[in-house]
This record gives sequence, C-alpha cells and structure tokens, in this order.
Amino acid sequence: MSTKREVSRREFLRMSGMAVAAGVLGSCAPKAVPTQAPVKETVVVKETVVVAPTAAWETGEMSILLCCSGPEEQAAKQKFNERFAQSHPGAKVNQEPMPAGQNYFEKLQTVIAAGTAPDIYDMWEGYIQPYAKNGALVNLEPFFEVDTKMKKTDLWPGVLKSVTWDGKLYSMLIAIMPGPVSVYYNKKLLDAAGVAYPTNDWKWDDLRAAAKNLTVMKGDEPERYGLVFDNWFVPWLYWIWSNGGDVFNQDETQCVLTEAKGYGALQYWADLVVKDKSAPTSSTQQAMQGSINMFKTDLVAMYLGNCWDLAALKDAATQGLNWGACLAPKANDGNRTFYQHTWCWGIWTGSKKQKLAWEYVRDFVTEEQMITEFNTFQKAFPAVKALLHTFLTKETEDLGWAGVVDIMGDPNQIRYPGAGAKWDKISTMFQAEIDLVFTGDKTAEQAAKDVCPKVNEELART
Amino acid sequence: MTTTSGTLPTRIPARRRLGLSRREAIVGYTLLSPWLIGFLVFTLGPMIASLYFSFCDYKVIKPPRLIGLANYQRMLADDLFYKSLTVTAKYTFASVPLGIVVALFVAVLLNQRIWGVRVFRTIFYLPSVVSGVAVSLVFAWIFNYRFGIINFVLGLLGIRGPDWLGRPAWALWAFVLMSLWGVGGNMVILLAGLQGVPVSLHEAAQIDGASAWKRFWSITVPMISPAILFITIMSVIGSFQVFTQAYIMTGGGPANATLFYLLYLYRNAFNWFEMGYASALAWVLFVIILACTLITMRGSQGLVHYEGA
Repeated sequence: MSTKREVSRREFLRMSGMAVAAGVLGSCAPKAVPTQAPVKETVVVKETVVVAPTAAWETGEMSILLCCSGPEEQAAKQKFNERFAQSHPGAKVNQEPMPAGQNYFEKLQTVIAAGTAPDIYDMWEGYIQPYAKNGALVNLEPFFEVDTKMKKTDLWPGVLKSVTWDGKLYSMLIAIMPGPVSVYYNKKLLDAAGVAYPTNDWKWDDLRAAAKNLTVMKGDEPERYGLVFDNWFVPWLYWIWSNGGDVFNQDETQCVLTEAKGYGALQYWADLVVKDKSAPTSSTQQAMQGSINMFKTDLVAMYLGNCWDLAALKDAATQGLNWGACLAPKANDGNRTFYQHTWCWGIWTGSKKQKLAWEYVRDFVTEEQMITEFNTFQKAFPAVKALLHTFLTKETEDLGWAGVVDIMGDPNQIRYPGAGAKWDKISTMFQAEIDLVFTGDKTAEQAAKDVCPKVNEELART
Repeated sequence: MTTTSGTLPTRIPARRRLGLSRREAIVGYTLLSPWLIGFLVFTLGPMIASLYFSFCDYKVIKPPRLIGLANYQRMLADDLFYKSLTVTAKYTFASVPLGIVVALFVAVLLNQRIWGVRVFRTIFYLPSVVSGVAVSLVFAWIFNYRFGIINFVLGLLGIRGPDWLGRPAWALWAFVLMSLWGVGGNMVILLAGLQGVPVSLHEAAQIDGASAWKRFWSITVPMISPAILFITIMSVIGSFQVFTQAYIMTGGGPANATLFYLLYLYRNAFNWFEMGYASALAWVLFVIILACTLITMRGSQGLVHYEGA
C-alpha cells in the first residue's frame, strides 16, 4: 500500500522557489541572436555574421528606434518610411521615437542585452566604436562593396573616422556638424555698445575683447555678460585642439593635457569667467535656465553655441530677438579645430532584416527630399557629397556656415576625441578637474597635472 | 424472513479531506504567492544574476565573461570608488543624526494637544510622499544662488549666501539640508512611539519633581528607543542609496563633490558599459550596509529599552 507523504511547508517553499527560479532563468536568458544560415554569400566579420546583400531584401516589418527627435522630425521620417515601403514591396517600417531627455542609450543597451533590439537605431559619434567592438553593430563594408547605388566614396572622406572601428565602417553617416559651430550675437546689444559684429575671421582675442566691452557690471556682479559658453567636452576640446594641444597622444595611450598648449587653452577661457567676469559660471547658467536662455533673454550679448540651437533662435527671432551668427573664432595663432558631431544609423547584428535595413539607411542618406527635410530640423552638413546643395542655402550663408565646406574637407579642422569606449568615462574625469578651473579653485596647469595620471591609468586598463 | 431486494447499499468512500492545518497552509501560500513570485522574479533573481555578473566582464551588449575576482581587485585601486564612498559616508554621518533629531523634535511638537494638530501632522508628512524627481527640481531652485529662497532669506539677514550647487565645498551640504525634506516618514514612526509612552510614568515623575527635560530624557527617549533604533537603521540604509537628487540636480558635480555611491554605480552600469564592475560595486554596497546595520544593532545593546524585556 502506498502512502502519500504530506508536503511540508519547507518543501513547498523550496519547490515553489525552484520552479519560479527556473522560470525566471529561462525567461531572462538572452534570446539567441538570430543569424542567417552561413550560405555561399555569407561574409563572416569577427563575431558578426553578415549576409552580403546579393539577393533582394527581406520582407516584413522592420523596427527603428529614434532618439531625441521632435514631432515634426518624426513626422518627416514617417513619411520617408512610407515612401520606402512603397519602393520596397512587402516591407513595412515601424519607428519607435523616444522623447528628448529620455535615457536613450540605457534603453538601447537593455534591448540589445535582451535580444529584442530594433533592426536600425540612431547612433552618433563616440558610441560607434564601443558598440562595434561589442558586436552590436553590423559592419557595412560588405554592403558598400556590392551595392550598385552607393559607394563609400560618395561620403566625405575626412569625417569617416568617427564611424570607423578596426578600419571598417560600422554606421551609415547621415550628417555632420562642427561643434561649437557658431558665435551667435545680439545685434541690438552690440550696436548699443558700439562693438563690431563678429566675423568668420575673428580670433579668440577679438572675441574676448568684445566680451569685455559688452559686459555690464552692477556693483561687483555682472548685470549682463558679454559671452556665454557651455562647460562640457565639446567646447573644451575645440579650445584645446584649436590651440594646438590635445588630450591624448597619437596612439591614445597617454594623457597630454599637461602640455602648455592644452592647459593654456583651458586657462584662457576660464579667465573669461574667473578674471574678466565677462562670462557666467556654470551655476549662473543653471540659475538662468541654461546658456541659450540667457542669450534669448538679453542677459548675454554673445553665445558660443551649437547647430541645434538654430530652431530655438529662429523662434526667438519671431519674438523680437535680432541676432546674427558667424563661425566660432580661430585660436590666436589662426588655427581652428572643431569637435565633430555626427548623426548616423546603426544596424543591429541580431537583425533578421539586414539587407532591408541596409536599403533603408542607404536610401535615407541619399534621398534628396529626406536630407533636405532633415536639414530643416537639425541643420547639419549632409554626409553624402552630392547633396551638399541641400545645406548651402542663403540661410547657411547668412550664418557664415558656408565655411563648413572647407572644414569638412580637412581632417585637421574637424575631429573627434578617440579613446573609443573609454571616452565617456575619461571625459567625466577631465570634466571634474575642469570644473575647478572654471570656479577658480585650481589653475588649468594644476588640474591637468592632477587628472592626467588618472586618465593614464584608465587608458592602460584593459 | 423478509428479504430485501434491489441494490445493496454500496459504501461510498468519503472524499479525502485535507487537514485544517494543510488547508490553512495552502490558503496562506496562495495569498502569499503574488509577493513571493514578485520577490523571486524581481528581487532574488536579479540579485543572484548580479552576484554572478560581479565576477564577469560584462559589457551589457555582449555576453558576460568570467574574470574571477578582478572587479573586486579593481575597486581597491579605483579613486572614484573611494571618492563616491567618502561622499556617501559624509552624507550619512551628517544627514542621519540631523534627520533623526529634527524628526524627533517635530514629532514632540506634533504630540501636543493643540488645536489643528492633525492638520499639522498631515502637512509635515506630505513632503515624504512627493516624487523624488519633483522634489529635486524644486530644490534646484531653492538652492539657486541668485534667485533661490535660501539665499534670499540669508540676504535679508545681511549674509551673502553661497553658490550651493556650484561650489564643491557647499554642494554636499546642500544635499544634507535637502534630506530634511523627508523627515515626515520618520516623524510619523516617532509620533506613534511617543503616543505609546504611558502617561502614568510621566505623572509619577512629575510628582517626584522631575523637570520636563529630565522626563523627556529619562522616560520618553528610553521608551521610544526601539523606534529610534528602527529609523536609524532605515535612515542609514536610505542614505547609502541616494541617487535621484544627485542625478537630477548636479550629475555628481561639481568636481565629483556629489558623486554618491549609487550614481557612480549607475554610470558604470549604463554609461560606461561596465555592468560587471557595477554589479561588484552593488555587492560591496550590500556588505557595507549589512555591516552598518549589524554595528548599529550591536551598538544599541543596552541603549534600547524593550518593554517586558
């Protein structure tokens, strides 16, 4: 006779726990990355299996993750998606926009880890190398090699480094822009102070002198500042590089900010805040709701700003702000090297529609209508040389941005910092010390001496 | 003799009946199961995973690779690890005692029999249920050195207020001050403790001529000491988990002056592709909090009065 033993509470708990844990582990296990069967036309690139685009594209729904785009830009992209679907029977594009200010890369990493990433996603400079290195971006070289509609040579050669890892292209460039591109100036305030409008030929000393003249003091505090600039790595790289300095040596193994040209540039610009008091501190900017807001509200006369500020400034113009713009000034020795902002598309290695995704990114960057519309939102320099005319309009000429053409052709005038996946962390290490320079708590030379050993350690870490 | 015809009555086996205790257990576990499943799926599962990841080089977008104790060894030479630990420890040592004293002070005031006391209790408790993000945005304005209300009030007193969030020397102390915003939660616990103190003890002491301070120190405080111990432990744990304020208000700056431990952990995990290292940081934090709790428990022996003990 069989007896059934009563299950104890402990056993019940143990069994429940094991069952749930098994379920959790099963459901949390990363989904197998779908790869194409290695057939004849398959090209194996490191860990990534890429299907060379010899056959027609895959059909079905393709997903796209958008970062930081406004409703108008999303609508324009949606219209492109419809055109793309028409020209690619059987294909459908589903775009998922993320509102500006959301943690885009946190989301992207999570969906990649979960094996549910979109086929195509927004990328930009600084992220391509770490994503490529970790196998999350498709190598586009095989696609370029066999594509009949687009060649790699269609792109501006001087700016390809930002989307290159290990000598291969891992993202499709949409557009590029120097940063910080412009000095925006308030014509009314400059006229009132009798200061000449800045030009593309201005040097730092010209801007500094104008900033001093435009600063209005009330007691020992400025009531109006001559100039405002953000304190993050884009402006300070532009200062350091333009002055002939750098943050890393050639092979990116050592921090070289300790060289006089590097820290000297930082000290020069910090002196505008600390000594001249013609530029506000970061906390003053924060108090005034940001640098561009200070410019829009007449609290500063000039603003060292970005290409994406254009829409807000055009809006401010409709409310009476009379402003002009020119390219950011050259260093006193006449050199000027910008930071390279890059908009691009990445294709996920786990995508089952890599051919279709390639068709999409290729058509996106080469379609005149799309790039023209993109320019109305981001105002950036098209990556495809043949579409230069979409950028060179009367508006860009008035902004002094026609000079960007020369910059794009010269790698010495536009670059990005390097250090690959480590740049984000290293930039915060630099920033912590540079903060102290701009509050007057340290000299730039001391800050450089303090930060470089830490940066070297980080660069050496495998 | 009569015979009965028809079918013989067959004995129907009694339905197996579960014992009372077993039925109670099933009902109990059934009611418990939503929490239990949630705990296993959303807490224990990730904890086990993070323990595993802490021994891995895990870049999130690439499968983890076992590297043994390398993440823990790396911590020993990581300046930012020590910096974030120092910032958090300073914050804990300053904010926890201050928070308890203020919460106790408010609780004593709200334990008085005055008109409208219930309204005041509600008002004092309300801030502790407001979202951390909203509070952070409001305090960014309060500490605004040009337009903030704190510097405005200091200005009325002839004092030039500091650049609270802009200067490394002041930023952390701004966060300590801000922590007082949430004393309402502790205040409610202490208030409940105060209301449990027998009136007869106070009356007896009063008859014996004890002063108000003596009664507070010798009767009230010992009687509510279990509540004080509880909020001390919870506050220490909470202070090691500060994130939202620093993320929203300063981003860890200026010059890492507000680089709280959890913010550093977050950056490693989500900004720098160092999920393995971040997991190791999380486990070290767990050990630190556990040690602090045990030390507090051990240190409280002889100081905490348990009724009937």
